[in-house]
Amino acid sequence: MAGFDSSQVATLLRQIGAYNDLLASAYVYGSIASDEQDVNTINLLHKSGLIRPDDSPGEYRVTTDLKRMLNRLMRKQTSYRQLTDMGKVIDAIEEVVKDYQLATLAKEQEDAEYYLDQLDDLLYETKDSLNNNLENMHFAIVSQFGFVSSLSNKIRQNERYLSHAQKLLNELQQIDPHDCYEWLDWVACPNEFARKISSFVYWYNQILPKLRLIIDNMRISLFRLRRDEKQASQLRNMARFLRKHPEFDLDENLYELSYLPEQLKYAPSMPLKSYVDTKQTDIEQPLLLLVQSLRKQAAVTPIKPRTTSEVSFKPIEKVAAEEDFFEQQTELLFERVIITSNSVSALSFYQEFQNVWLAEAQMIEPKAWIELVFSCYCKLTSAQQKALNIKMKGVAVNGTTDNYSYSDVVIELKAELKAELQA
Amino acid sequence: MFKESIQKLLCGTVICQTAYEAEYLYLKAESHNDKVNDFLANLDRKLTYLDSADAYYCTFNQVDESNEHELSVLFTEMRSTFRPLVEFLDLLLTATQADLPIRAKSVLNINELFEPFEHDQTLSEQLRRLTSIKPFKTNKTETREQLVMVFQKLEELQYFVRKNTGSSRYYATARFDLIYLLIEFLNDAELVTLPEQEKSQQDELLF
Repeated sequence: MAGFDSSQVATLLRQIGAYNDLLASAYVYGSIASDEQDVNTINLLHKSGLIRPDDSPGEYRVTTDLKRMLNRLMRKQTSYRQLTDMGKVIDAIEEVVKDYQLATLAKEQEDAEYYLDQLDDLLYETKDSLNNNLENMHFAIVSQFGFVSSLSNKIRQNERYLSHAQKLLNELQQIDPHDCYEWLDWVACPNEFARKISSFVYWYNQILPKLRLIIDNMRISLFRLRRDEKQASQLRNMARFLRKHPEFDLDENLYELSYLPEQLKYAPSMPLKSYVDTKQTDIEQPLLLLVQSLRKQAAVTPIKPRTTSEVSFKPIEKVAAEEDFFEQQTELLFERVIITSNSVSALSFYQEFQNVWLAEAQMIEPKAWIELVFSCYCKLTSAQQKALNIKMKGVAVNGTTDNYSYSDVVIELKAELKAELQA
Repeated sequence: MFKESIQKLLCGTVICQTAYEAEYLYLKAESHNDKVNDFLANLDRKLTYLDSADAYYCTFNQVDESNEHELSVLFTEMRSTFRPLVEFLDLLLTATQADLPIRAKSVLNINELFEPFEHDQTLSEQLRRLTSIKPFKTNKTETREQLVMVFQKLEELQYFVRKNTGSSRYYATARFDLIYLLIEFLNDAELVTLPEQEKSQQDELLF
């Protein structure tokens, strides 16, 4: 490359390397402030054309050239807009081609080489810038314009990218491969030159369909974004509508509507069941395994832990049955009535057995005895009571109508029973 | 995969890339797609592809005596969940401050939702109301628990799937897209008159 030697370039690159942190922060944060310590460094970088003073004093920014280079290397989105004016590019290429042709024909080897170099740069830059453009656009579509977050900005960006891509397509269509091939149409056209031109044409033939594909994808993406926007606004409006109309409900017979879209005609789920054909011998083995596994499962069913608590109980108390002596005597009285069919007075029974009882060391007052006979009569079952009559001997209490003072009770067999027994 | 796909489709499953990826990939192939469709035709059904969500499911061909009762049951169920689902989606839009509602392939991290719901009283109040109605009804009182409940219920209803049970990342399925489709239909068929966009923006300014 004419004009520079490699040491000059190396010096510049060394500067970039030496102040990498400073330049990086100026690029990332937009600007850096200089202080007394690094005033020399700042001046040096300024002189090399790497930074430039900002509007606010004491602050420096990365120069446009360096920024553009970094943008490109860091794949920043801003560069997609560098619209390549293909008409101008082709004119420039054509000029260089002519210069090269003349120099070659005149056998001015060194100059021809310089023009070839220039041509190479031009072609490379053109290709690179367009490839870059396309790559950025591709990235934008794939990431769904991820560098902006809101839906409306995505739509705006998509629209911009799309119009840019369409302009680019128009630009590219200005190139006519036949014109390019005409550049080769001269005697003794060197292979090296022909190769460059034909590879450019080859690239051009490839890039056009790529760009068309990108444009198609952008249209689809724009359509999707607009649909998303519509969907979001419909959802919000629906929610608002439902809040305002708490009574609203979907039509009960929605599925019967003739104009219901096909995609909303969900089919009800179908219960799926199958039964085993037990006569089929080839499934016997897996079936047995299945049954066994089910059995095993049943056997290992974990025992559910239950909450337990103690139940306290008292042993049932055993009480010896005590028989009352005189109650037994009343039973003997009733027995005598039945056996003899004669009426028995409680008092006479007392007088008769008093001595026997005394001999057995049993004592009872006559009054208590009479009361006991009365109460034992009352305790008899109703069938027994029907067989026996009780007669009370007593006198009415003075001054009362229905109060009596009893002196004895007489138990007797009922008349009809007496007749039966006698018969 | 034919059998699996048919079984899923007949059970009313929506097959998309998030849920049932293997069946989805199987149905993507045109030959398989035709085969499944031919089979379903015998059962008065067909395979439907929802372009916007890239999903497959089964739809009915006609309403007749044989399916009327089942359709009525299915659509009654849909009627009952429509309102709570719309409310949930709207709530989520507000909570995530997104302008794009969740749909097939969206990913939500529930941990990131706890904070907005717990710190915004309007949101937690709306969530409380949402969890007082079916299908999100719960006795839980903590906002966090209510939110977990709602997500679990949606997972049960196959609106969300998770790669593993303990994960906090929920992948949305194409079922959400079917709700948007229904809203669009209601709007386009003028079965409801949704408020105008400008008006809604004015409403928003009032708050």
